[in-house]
Amino acid sequence: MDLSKLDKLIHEKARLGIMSLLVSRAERWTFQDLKSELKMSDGNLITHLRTLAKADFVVSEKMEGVGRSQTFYELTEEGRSAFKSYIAELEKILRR
Amino acid sequence: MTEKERAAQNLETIRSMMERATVYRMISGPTALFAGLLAVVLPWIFPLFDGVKLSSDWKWVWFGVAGTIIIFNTVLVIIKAKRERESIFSPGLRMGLRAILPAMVIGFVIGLLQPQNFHPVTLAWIWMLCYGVALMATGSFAPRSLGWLGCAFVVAGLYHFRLWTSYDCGIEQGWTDIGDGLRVANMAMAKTFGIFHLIYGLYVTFIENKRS
Repeated sequence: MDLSKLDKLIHEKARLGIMSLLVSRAERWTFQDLKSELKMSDGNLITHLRTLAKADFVVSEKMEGVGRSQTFYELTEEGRSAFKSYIAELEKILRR
Repeated sequence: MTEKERAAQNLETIRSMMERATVYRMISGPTALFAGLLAVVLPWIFPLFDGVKLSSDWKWVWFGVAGTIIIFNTVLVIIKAKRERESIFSPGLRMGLRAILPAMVIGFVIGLLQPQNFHPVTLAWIWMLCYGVALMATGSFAPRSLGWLGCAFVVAGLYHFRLWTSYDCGIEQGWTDIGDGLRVANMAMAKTFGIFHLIYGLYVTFIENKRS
């Protein structure tokens, strides 16, 4: 077992940050909150979110309100289980 | 860097990221110490507030104390946000406000709308309960010590309520005399809002912060 066997999609630093935040709370995250917590540019963050959405790890929903519209993000069951497996792999490496 | 070290580093990144997102301390060590000090000192300087003879005036003195503490804490939040180049209304702060505001607003409104003959001791235990419930509402994301602080306020509030009713609302003790009533209420506030905050502030500053 080595690091190359880890899920590349999650292993990338920015996406690992996104997944960690999304998994940490039961509520959904807004784009602005993710951006401020990760200190990433809009373009960079949206690119990584799209990559995760393409893999069905993340789903988004755009809400139109009275003020500015907001996009909410949350992990899918698939994303959650991929994240768990990723951590389990890291733990296996540590225990070797 | 070995594979093990890299794996450990990644796990550490995940842990700190999740902690940042889920742990938020609404009351910092310095704020708790400042609040505790004000609440302990106030009963001693209370005679200086010459005009405060009624319980309806008494509440404004304590609203003033609360306002000063909120301003102090806000300044600390702004300084921290600037230092860490984060927005002032961080997700953690918003989450914290959502948790504490309902009970705090209830306490504030009861104080605001209290009838003229409302005894200050009654207001003191109501505030203890509201504040305690507000802090306990942050339990899912605050450090455990804050939950314990909330718990202490709820217990103290219930204790003072029990004491108050068992003393027949202070009639036996002569607390219906407003001067005595204000003194007793001030002492109750100093013992709880003062001492509890000082203990919590010292614990956070010298034990929790060092440990982390």
